[in-house]
Formats: sequence, structure tokens, C-alpha cells
Amino acid sequence: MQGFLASWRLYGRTDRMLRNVFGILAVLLPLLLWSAVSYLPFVWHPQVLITDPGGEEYLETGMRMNRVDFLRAVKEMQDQHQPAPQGIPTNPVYLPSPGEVLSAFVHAFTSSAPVGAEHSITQAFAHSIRIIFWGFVISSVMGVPLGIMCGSIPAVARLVEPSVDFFRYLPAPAFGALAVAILGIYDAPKIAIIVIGTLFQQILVIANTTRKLDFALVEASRTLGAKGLRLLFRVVIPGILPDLYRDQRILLGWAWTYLIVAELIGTSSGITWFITQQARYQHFDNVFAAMALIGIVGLGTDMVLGVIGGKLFTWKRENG
Amino acid sequence: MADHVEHALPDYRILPPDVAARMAQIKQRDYVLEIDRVTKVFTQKKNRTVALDAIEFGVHRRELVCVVGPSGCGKSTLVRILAGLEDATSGQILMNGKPVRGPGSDRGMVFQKYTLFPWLDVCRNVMFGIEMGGVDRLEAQRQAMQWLQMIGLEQFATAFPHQLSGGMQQRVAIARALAASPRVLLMDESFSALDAQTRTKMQNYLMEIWRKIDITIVFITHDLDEAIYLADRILVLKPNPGRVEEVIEVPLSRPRRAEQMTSDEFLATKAHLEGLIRSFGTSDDMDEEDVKIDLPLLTLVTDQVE
Repeated sequence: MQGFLASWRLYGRTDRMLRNVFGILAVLLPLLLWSAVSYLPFVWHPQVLITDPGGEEYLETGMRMNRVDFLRAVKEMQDQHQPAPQGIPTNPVYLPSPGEVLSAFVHAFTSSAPVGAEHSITQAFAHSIRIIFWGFVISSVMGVPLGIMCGSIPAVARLVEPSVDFFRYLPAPAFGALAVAILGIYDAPKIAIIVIGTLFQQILVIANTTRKLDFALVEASRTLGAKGLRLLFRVVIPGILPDLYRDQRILLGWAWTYLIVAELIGTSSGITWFITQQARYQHFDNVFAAMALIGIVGLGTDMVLGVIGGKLFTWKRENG
Repeated sequence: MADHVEHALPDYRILPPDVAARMAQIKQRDYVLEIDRVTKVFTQKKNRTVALDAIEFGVHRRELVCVVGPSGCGKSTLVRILAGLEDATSGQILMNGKPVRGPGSDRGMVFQKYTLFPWLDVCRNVMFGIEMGGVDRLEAQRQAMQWLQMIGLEQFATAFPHQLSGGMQQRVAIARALAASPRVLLMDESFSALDAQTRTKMQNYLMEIWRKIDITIVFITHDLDEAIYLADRILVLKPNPGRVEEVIEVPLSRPRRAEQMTSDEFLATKAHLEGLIRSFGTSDDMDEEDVKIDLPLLTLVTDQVE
């Protein structure tokens, strides 16, 4: 109990067990809230799902309407001495219950039945991941070396950074039409958008990381006779590697935010296409399942990368 | 105590015969490192600060020179120029008579900060300078292990810097600098981050190493005891602008022992140095015993401690 209180203080202490408890609660509390809203009729449920239209002509079974309108319809029918419509309180169609989303999610992995143009969540998602992967790889191949050079060679920094700063402020979607004109309508312009969205940030972020290397280490290695490429490969790169790794993790998340834009240009594709299609059919359980999939995969990769990073860079972790 | 010492102190300039003989011997040796009218001016907007003004000094082979002075006298700038980490505004540094440009492995340096590469274990840290000299990895490892044996840390060869204490880290840093086989070892307040006990140990340690290998040491410090204890000669700098005030030949025989720190010669030298430093009268004087603290009484009047 004392530990529990301590963990709420500013810079307070927590033990391992409490951290796990909080970790579980972090997942459980939002889910509980969602379940409460979905399953407890008195919590929200602003609409009514019609089960029996009664005497009202314009009502159909399975329709949703606002409670006020429903009550007026009931009153009208009662006044006309006709059978009153029946209905149960429900949430708007855009808020499916956890159970519905879960079953859509399970369905996505178990069935191979085609759903719309992209055949299933998994197929759509695999396509998205391919786009992200190539976009991020291409961006990194250019951005990481350039960033390191900007951070360590003043002339390169002066030459490159002003134009990078200029392009950084142009929103990646602005390049959409251009990318399609140059690269066609299939995957190439989508990858290009991810590259454009990531690369310029990447150069600046990594340049900054490189600049933050403890300069005393560079000076020490110089007095030991290191210079040029050997200084770069034996001191600068190993020294910044843990921070570089962390930057790449953050930038990968960044790449994901450009996915939505990328997939809407040219021929729509991937998870974005799937989501927009399903939303059009009002299959919000599928929409939520797709969103959950993105979140889970994103969080999962980041956690895996975090664990790998901790294992690779023990010296940094223990150095604080 | 001060009065008791004052009239008993000998002149610090009178060297005991053995020290005089040694000094003469040192002076016969060539200069390894020469500071040739080195001037350093820092310009910031319209402010011109002369950090060093035409410094002229020569360090003989296998000599141990300490540089002292109040803060702001440019002693750190001087050692950084010696290392080649900063350029002199005018004048030059000569190594064995040849002018040097930029840092090089002929001048090793041990910094005040801990600068071991945190991603390399102790052995690989010591190997760094050897490998930079073009030695292959296996040979470098063999040499590094010898150095670690010499500093008594061979059992820590696979430990990482963050697992070592500050004193151990500086010992490895010394070994790392020496392993690159420099002619001169520059030390910029290398022991000032250590606690008093460790510092004394490290001083003995340094002198032990210095006796065993052919190395010339220039040691920057603000600790007068440390300077007198270590040095053959002490270069005293005065601030604003940084100039050589005096070069003191330390009247203590070698090998040095901790007991010498209470000898008359030691105290006389220290008294003189303290006098010099005080005479510079900078605002941030290094000994601030004269500062009067004006503090209101914050305890109960009845609560007396003395």
C-alpha cells in the first residue's frame, strides 16, 4: 500500500510488481471503459435499435434511430391506437462493442472469404507493411549516412541542412500528385511519399544526435592518433549507435503516419483502402479490427526493437 | 601554527645537494617539448581576451613539470594547445625541435573528465591507441594486456568502464594514453575529480610509472600540494594576460614520499606559491579562506555550538 502511494509521488519509487500491475491496468482500464459503454445500457446508448416497427411505416427492423425520435414515434402510434414500435437501446453504429470487434478480428485471420477489393485485413495489411518497409529502408539508406555526415562535418551540414529544412516543412501529401506523375499509380509513389515524409526529419534528427556525442571522447581519440574515417568508424558511429537506434525506432513510427496519405494516392491500397471501404459499408467492427491490428503490430515491433536495443547496448543503459 | 612555521622555513630556492645534482642532470638533456612564444587570444564580438601572452618554456626529456595558476590563467588552454586540440593565435609548439600541427599520438593526454570509450571494454580501450598506430589486433591485445598488468588491472580486462571506480578509470586512461607510446604525457587536472585518498594513491602511481618508462609529463593542476609533490619544476602562470610568473625548482629529493609533505622545504615552497597566487588577487581566488561570510544567526541564541 505504501509502495502504491509512493508510486504516485513526483519521481517516486516503484517496485517491479507495481510496475507490472500498472502495465496491466494500462491495457485493462480502457478496455473496461469500452466494455462498460458497450454493454451497460444505462451508461450511454443514445440510440434505439428497432426490433419491431409496429404500426410506423417508415421504420424497419434493424434500423437505428435517436432515442428522442423513437419516443416520439412510440407516442404517435399510441395516440393513433396502433401497435407501438419496439426497440432496444443501442450505441451508434460507429461504436461497435469489444465482442464484435474481437470476432471481426478473429474472422480476419480464420476466413479467406474476400471482403471488397482487397481480399482481407491480413492481405491488405501485408501490402501496407511492404510499403512501410521499403519506404523506411530507402529513406534510411540515404538519411542515416547523410545525417551522420551533417552532424560531424561542418561543410556538409552547411550545404545540406538549409534545403532539408525547407523540404521538411513541405507536407509530404503535397508531393502526392508529383509522385504519381513521375512514378505511376502503383506502389512506387506510395513508397516515395513515405521516403519524403521520413527522410528529411531523419537527416536532421540523426545530425543532431551525432552532434550530441560527448566531444571529450572525440578529443581523447584524437590524442590517441585517430583521425578521418577511422575516427568516424571507431569512435563517432559506435558512440552514437544507441541513440541512433532509438532515433530509428521513433522515425519508424513517423513513417507509419505517412502510410495513410501514401495509400490514398494513385490506386488506393492496403490497410487504408480496407478501412475506408469498410467504413463506407458501415462495417465498423472491421474498421476497429484493422485499427487494432495496426496498433498491435506497431506496439509489438517497438517493444521487440526496445528489448533488442537493451540487449545490444548494455553499456548505454547502465551508463544512464 | 602559521607563525610557528614562518620563522623556521628555509628559502625554497635553496636546493638540497642531491636535488641540485638531479636538476643539473635534467637540464643537460634536450628539450622534448618547447613552447615557443605561444599567444592565445579569444575574440568574442568586440571582447578580446588574451588567455596566453607569449609563453616561453621548454620541457626536458623525462622531466615532470607541473603548471599551476589561479583559475582563468589559461593553464587549461595551454595544455590543449600542447595537445593540438586548440591552435595558438601566434607562436608554436615544437616536439623534438619540429613544429606540430594538430593532435598526434606523440602527445598523449589524460583528461579531467572520464573519457574511456564506454562501448569498449578495458582491454579494447587500451588497445585503441596501439591499433591507431597501425599495429595488428593480436599484437595490440598482447601489448594492452602488458599495460594492464603494469597498472594492476589485468583482471578487469573484460570489464566495461562504467563498472570501474573513478580512480580505476583514470588508471586505465593513463595506460591507454601511454600504450600509444607518446613522447609526452599531458595531464589536465586528471585527478581533480577523485577523492583525496584516491588522489594520493594515483599520484604515487603516476610517479611509479614515470620512473619505469621513458616519458615526459606535463601536469596541469590547481592543487598546490599535488604540484609540489609531483613536480621537478613548477611553472606558475599569472592571469590577465596569462604569463609565466615564475619557474620553481622543487627542492624535494626523489623518490617522493608522503612524509615529505610536512618537510620544511615542502612547506616553504607551498607558502611561496600561496603568496604568489594570492598576489594575483583575482576575484575567484583558489583559496578562499579570506572570504568573510556575513550570515545572520539562524539558530536560537541559547543553542551554542562553540
